[in-house]
Amino acid sequence: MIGKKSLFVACLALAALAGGFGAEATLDCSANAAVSEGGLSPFLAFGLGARADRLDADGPSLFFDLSADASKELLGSGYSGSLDFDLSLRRLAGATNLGLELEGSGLLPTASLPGAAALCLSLPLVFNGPELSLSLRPLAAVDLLETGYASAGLEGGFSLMAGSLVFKPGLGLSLLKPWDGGLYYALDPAAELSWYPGFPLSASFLATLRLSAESLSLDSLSLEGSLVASPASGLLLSLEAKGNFSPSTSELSVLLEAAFALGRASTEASGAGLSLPLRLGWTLDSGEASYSIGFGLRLSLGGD
Amino acid sequence: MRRILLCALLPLLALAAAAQAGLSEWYSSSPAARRYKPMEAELAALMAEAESRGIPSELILSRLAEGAEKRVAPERLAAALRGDIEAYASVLAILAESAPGAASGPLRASLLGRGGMVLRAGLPGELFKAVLGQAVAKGIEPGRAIDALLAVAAAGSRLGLDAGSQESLALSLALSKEKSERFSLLSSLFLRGQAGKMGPRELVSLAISVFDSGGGFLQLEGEITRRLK
Repeated sequence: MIGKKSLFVACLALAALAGGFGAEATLDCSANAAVSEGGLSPFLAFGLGARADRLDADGPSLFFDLSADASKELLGSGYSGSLDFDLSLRRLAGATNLGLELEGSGLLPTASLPGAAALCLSLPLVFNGPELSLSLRPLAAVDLLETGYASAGLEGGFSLMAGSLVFKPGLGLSLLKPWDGGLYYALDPAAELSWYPGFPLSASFLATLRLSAESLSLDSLSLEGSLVASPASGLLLSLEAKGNFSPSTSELSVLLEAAFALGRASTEASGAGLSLPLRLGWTLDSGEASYSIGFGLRLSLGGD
Repeated sequence: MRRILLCALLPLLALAAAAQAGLSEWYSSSPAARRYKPMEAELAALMAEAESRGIPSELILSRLAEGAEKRVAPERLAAALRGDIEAYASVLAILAESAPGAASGPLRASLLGRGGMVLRAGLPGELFKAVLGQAVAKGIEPGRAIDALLAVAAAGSRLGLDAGSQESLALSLALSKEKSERFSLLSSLFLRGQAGKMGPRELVSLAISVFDSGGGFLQLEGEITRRLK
């Protein structure tokens, strides 16, 4: 009886949470061609992004984000696929934001990558101020595959807003236990600088370093920069540059995308938009350069 | 009777003379003004009309100088200035109704200038009136409400926001704890979310949720970047 009552209460709570949900989805499909020393490799790429949220300024807010990407070579047998989700429950109490977050990421194994099926549970805690916010995030993660690991850690940092700049330094400490034995720790200092100048442009730069005392090839440096601009209504330009460097590998990539909005229709409760993205890319993977070009169609749907 | 009429006309004549003096000074000091010499009488009439409707002539003069610097064709410039006079008159009427003190106070020219920018950015007058009225009724300074409208107009023109979203967002921003000097950053913040494939509905509801719960741009930036991970 108690079980039935609990189930009923849980159903009521879920129904209450479900009311007032808003959702948006983006579908991307594109035809691409990559050129490298190995020759020309045409491929198709698909992407799905879905977001749902129930926002409440006075109560708990619930967020769900899902993204899935897949690509398939047209002449060869190469493919890739990934799936990520993030389920987050947050509640603001005074100036403090408390949360419970479950993240998942999956990567299809390929000839060169072992794949991943990871889950991460964290308890983000943010102390908000008008110019400065402090954050603390204890987390536990597990990669379920044979090549995976279990880890626990703590991330801390602050966000400082000065004029149009936001500076976010942070530090993470984690313990890692691979399934095949051993116990390792890693330090992850990171810093992000973003610029929001007040006209239709934004820029950000993120640097993350992973340091470990043991010889597990964990040491790495990753750099990410992005620039977004909207020089005209209906045109969105974005430039992304990424670099990953470790003792065994190095990869650099630059991607330029111009998305031309074809049209948007909306009512009070829903909307849909269609755009044409054109992409140009350059990648340097362990010394081998490749270039890519792609064009496609992006459909965005949203509603309350 | 004649004396009363004269007393009423004198301030208007003084204003018209001041407007004419400003225009003459612009013609003599700005190299860009030469192109518009043939329409001096038309411009003088527009300035006098603005003054007679309670619009400070320096606003029209500033718009005239801006158009001349951009080498706008004379006939297009005259039409634009007529549109500006109508926009400023609408703002003045809304201010007189919603915030009578501000409509006649020392900040009048500044409020009219920013209000005119809001209408030129494409926000409907009814929306302007609704947001200003609600914000002022809740104790917000008219200038802050107009700055919020201006920020939303700039962000909305890129995102294609509907009128309902613009109204809710502008009111929420005006009532927020964020500094009005930083309101213009809203379009850059939204642009970052847009590049991360966040849609207009989501960005607006996220921003309103943050502002209504006492947060500002720093918290909104944190929420947007968290969802772009």
